[in-house]
Amino acid sequence: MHQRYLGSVLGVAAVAALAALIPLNSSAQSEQKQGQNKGKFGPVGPEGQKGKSKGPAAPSGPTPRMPDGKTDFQGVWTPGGTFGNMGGLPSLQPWADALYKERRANLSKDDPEGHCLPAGVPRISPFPYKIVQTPTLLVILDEGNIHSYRQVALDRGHAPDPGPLWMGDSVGRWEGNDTLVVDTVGFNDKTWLNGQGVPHSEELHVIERFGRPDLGHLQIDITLEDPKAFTKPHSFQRIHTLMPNTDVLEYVCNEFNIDAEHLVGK
Amino acid sequence: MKPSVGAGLAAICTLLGGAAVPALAHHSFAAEYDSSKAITIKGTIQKLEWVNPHAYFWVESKDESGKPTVFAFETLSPNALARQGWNRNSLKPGEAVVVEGYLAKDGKLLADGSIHANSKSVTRGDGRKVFVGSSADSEK
Repeated sequence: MHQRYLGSVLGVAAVAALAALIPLNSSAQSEQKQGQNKGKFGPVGPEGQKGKSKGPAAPSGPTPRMPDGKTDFQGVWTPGGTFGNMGGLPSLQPWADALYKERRANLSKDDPEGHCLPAGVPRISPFPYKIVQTPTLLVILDEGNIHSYRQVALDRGHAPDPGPLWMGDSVGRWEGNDTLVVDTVGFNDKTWLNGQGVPHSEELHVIERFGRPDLGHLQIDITLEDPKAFTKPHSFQRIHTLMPNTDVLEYVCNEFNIDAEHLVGK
Repeated sequence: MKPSVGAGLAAICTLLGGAAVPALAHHSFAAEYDSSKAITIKGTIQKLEWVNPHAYFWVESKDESGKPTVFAFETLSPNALARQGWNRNSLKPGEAVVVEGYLAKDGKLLADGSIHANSKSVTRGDGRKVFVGSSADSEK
């Protein structure tokens, strides 16, 4: 029925590509320059904070410490546009490579995130997350993709046969006062490692080495081991920035997720 | 008022060769919307729903004969909009707008009979743009 409208539509195959290369919130910034809409939660990009937009500079200062001298990781952190970084494609076993290619061909229509399911580990959304820390527990509160959380137990080893879990079973141990090594196992095989559909098996083992080299930066060195899905371990680094004077916001994915029934792929 | 205005944007196909970028929204843009079906719709705001995972607004557009058609536009998530200073009052029912966006791939009307589309920006009557951004921004 809307062919009449389509008749006046000009198909532009490169629009999305072009948009991805343009400073992402230029119009919003120009509006802010006019003195309007300063932003209740600070000037970050349209999806929390985006890579090519210039978010606020990370605050400078020394690494905060807990009373016992250990690094204090607490704060609201943003991955900015680097949220999808996983250091390139892992070397995949043939079945995993075939599944990855199938997901790419389907334009990620079956991505669990599109159905408001948890992202898994170490996949993150572009939205900020908050770290809360005690001597025996570190909690990661994700604003998106859904309001998920991770609990990193600092006072125990892994539970016996903890899986299959969407977010895995995470335990942490300190290396000196500066580095917290978070070890996560017990996954299901339903999550994707990124939006492109890099798969993993239930044997996925994630090692994250958390460091805070200064006040404004969180450095996470990540190694993924999955002998069933990868031909060798895969390592990469993420550096996220502190967002001071803000908080994680509400994001209730299932409220009106009409997308699910319209994700048709090709 | 014309029902719709074709978006005369130049295709820059050389930009298509970039590496794959993960979807910024919670869903794949390319799996739901068609970047080759760019639209520009002139009309009036019917309503706005400040809901997750994406806020939606409905625009009524009339053709030459005055027959109305309603478009339902997905925009960014409320948290993303809020961080740019926008809120549920940034668009008011009855106000005139021009919306640039993309049509859904499946062509299916929503349950209320509206045409399903994705918004990348809304220009208000005074020329100010609001709700700038789309899940299309992050895709190749």
